[in-house]
Amino acid sequence: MTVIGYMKRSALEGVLGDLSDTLEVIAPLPSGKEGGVELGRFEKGAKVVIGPVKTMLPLKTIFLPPVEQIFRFSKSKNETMLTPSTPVTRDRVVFGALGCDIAALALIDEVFLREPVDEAYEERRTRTTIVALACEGQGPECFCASVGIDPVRPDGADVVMIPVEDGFIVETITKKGEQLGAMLQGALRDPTGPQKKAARSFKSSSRSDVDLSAPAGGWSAVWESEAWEDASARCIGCGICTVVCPTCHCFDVHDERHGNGGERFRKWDSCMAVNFTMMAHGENPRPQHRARVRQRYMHKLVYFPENHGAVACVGCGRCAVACPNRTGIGEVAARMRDQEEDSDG
Amino acid sequence: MGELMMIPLIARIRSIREVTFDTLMFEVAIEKDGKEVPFSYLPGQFAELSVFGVGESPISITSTCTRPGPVEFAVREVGLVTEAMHNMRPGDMMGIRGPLGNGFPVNEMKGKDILFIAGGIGLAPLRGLINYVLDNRSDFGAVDIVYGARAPNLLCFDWEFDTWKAAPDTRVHLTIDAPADGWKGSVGFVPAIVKELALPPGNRLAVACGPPIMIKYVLEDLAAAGYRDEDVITTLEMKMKCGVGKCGRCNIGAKYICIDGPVFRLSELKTIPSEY
Ligand SMILES: Cc1cc2nc3c(=O)[nH]c(=O)nc-3n(C[C@H](O)[C@H](O)[C@H](O)COP(=O)(O)OP(=O)(O)OC[C@H]3O[C@@H](n4cnc5c(N)ncnc54)[C@H](O)[C@@H]3O)c2cc1C
Ligand code: FES
Repeated sequence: MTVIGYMKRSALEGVLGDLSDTLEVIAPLPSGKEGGVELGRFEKGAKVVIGPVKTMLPLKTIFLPPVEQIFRFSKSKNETMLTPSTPVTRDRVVFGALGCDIAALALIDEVFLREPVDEAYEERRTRTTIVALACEGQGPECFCASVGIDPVRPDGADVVMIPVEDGFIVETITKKGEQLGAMLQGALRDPTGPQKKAARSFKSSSRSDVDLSAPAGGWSAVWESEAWEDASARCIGCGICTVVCPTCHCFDVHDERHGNGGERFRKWDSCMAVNFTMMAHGENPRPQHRARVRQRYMHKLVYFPENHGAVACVGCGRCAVACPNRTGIGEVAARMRDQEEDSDG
Repeated sequence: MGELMMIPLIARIRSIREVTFDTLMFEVAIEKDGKEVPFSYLPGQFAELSVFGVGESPISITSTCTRPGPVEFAVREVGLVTEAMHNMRPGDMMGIRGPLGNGFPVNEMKGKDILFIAGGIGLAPLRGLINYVLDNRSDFGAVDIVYGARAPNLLCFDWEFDTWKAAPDTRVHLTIDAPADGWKGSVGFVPAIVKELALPPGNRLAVACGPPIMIKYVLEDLAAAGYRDEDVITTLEMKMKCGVGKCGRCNIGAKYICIDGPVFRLSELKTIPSEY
């Protein structure tokens, strides 16, 4: 980690504008009329929203877009020509990413970068430089500190910007970050003593008391837990939790035909949907709502740790905020562990 | 695998053979950039076959890698993609991604007697393994094949039966669910025939593929007959999309059928939930 300078907030749009001559620049931009914020492509003249805001959709959207063409095909009498899609055309930089969202990428990497590597995802990952915005916590829903994430200097960031006074202290972390740092030099000044001190003492208010630890006995100890009755009784099965979740990565594959050609897409899917596991003949191994709710939480809290050594939750709290019934994963985890104690006792 | 994870190679249909009234066998040659390329695989692996513009389906490879030449897939018509496949003609092109999945543990099966148990189209993945075993006959012990279907005309791959019967130390026990005109073999469900045969475990492995209800009874009966969980092998089916452990669709507990399976020993199945 190297402090490379201080940048004034008012200089940011100019800096991004200059970068956009050579890079695709992605940043939090105003969205809709209600003060919403989403990651989007920055064009010169746009205003960036940098502040205590979490985009409704997580950072994963720029690595696993909601809908993505896999290839195009065209048929002639004797041949079928496939043209794989180009996942990115230019190197990219994303500004203002939050620690929770960046940590989630490491979890998705576990799945998409293991053999066989998902090339589209890999290319987006390697061609994107991530500039984190140190996060002071964004409200009561935040609990990234509970799952071991540093919201100030998150692992996985290439550059970190720490808000101080009316600007940022800029620190580079990786080689990629240094390369970007070199492009920022024109907008940087030497930080003052108080600015450096403020950056060193920057703190987050993220809660560190949410316990997502799996029940000691693994899946079998809680398979019949009443936690599933409770959670499924409160769930309307809308699947919004899977849409806003930075670690959910399930997708569907879908073909379209136009004349003699067509395309294949993949698009986000949700394990909360009835037809997610519906097979030909109408046979469905997860026919009940309860089984689907169990699948979602077990995947995050038990199966993912079993396969990859970490819970698939980064404490962003988006699920509880988006849920019509405000159900949070922390409560469900607690209920699972209680149940285990009950059945032990 | 093809070059890219989600990009199929071309599988050009060489010939199509009727297996039963609703199942066709496609013999395909694999092509890349217009040239035929080799395709190596293990018995029990599958491939994602596609009809461009309609979709993709996971289908077991039913041929054996011991016989170079076209790769064979038996497809039962049940929905959109399989229906579109049934409308194809020799010379037409499908897409193919694979081979996928773990396949049968053929090296660990060497030296063993093998009891094959199949029902209906469940013979498709086992046919590749049976032919693999018979092509390497001296590597394996006694072979018994119990195979059943609802009616005689629903027995798949009937052209294989005489060859299998003629192989050394190999017996084929065919059965149908209910008596039918002209049928001279056994009548009864597959689990009942397995029970009646009463082949002792000893040095024997049992490999079972078929409808879930058949598998359920067969596994219970094998356990009662003293077969150890490690010596009972079966395959699981689950809805799939990517076939490579990414799309999150095919898990049972922490296992993904597409990459950790579709072949499992009963001892492994006991470590995952019995429901999904
Ligand atoms: C490992 C494996 C091996 C298989 N081997 C064979 C075989 O050798 N021969 C054969 O006829 N069938 C086989 N099946 C079943 C076959 O994949 C389905 O019947 C087929 O996908 C149905 O597709 P459809 O488009 O016609 O039906 P639809 O109902 O229209 O299905 C739409 C899509 O859902 C998925 N899907 C639906 N049902 C299944 C299912 N049962 N399993 C997996 N995905 C499904 C597929 O992606 C399919 O394209 C196998 C399944 C698996 C998992
Ligand atoms: S089919 Fe996609 S994970 Fe198994």
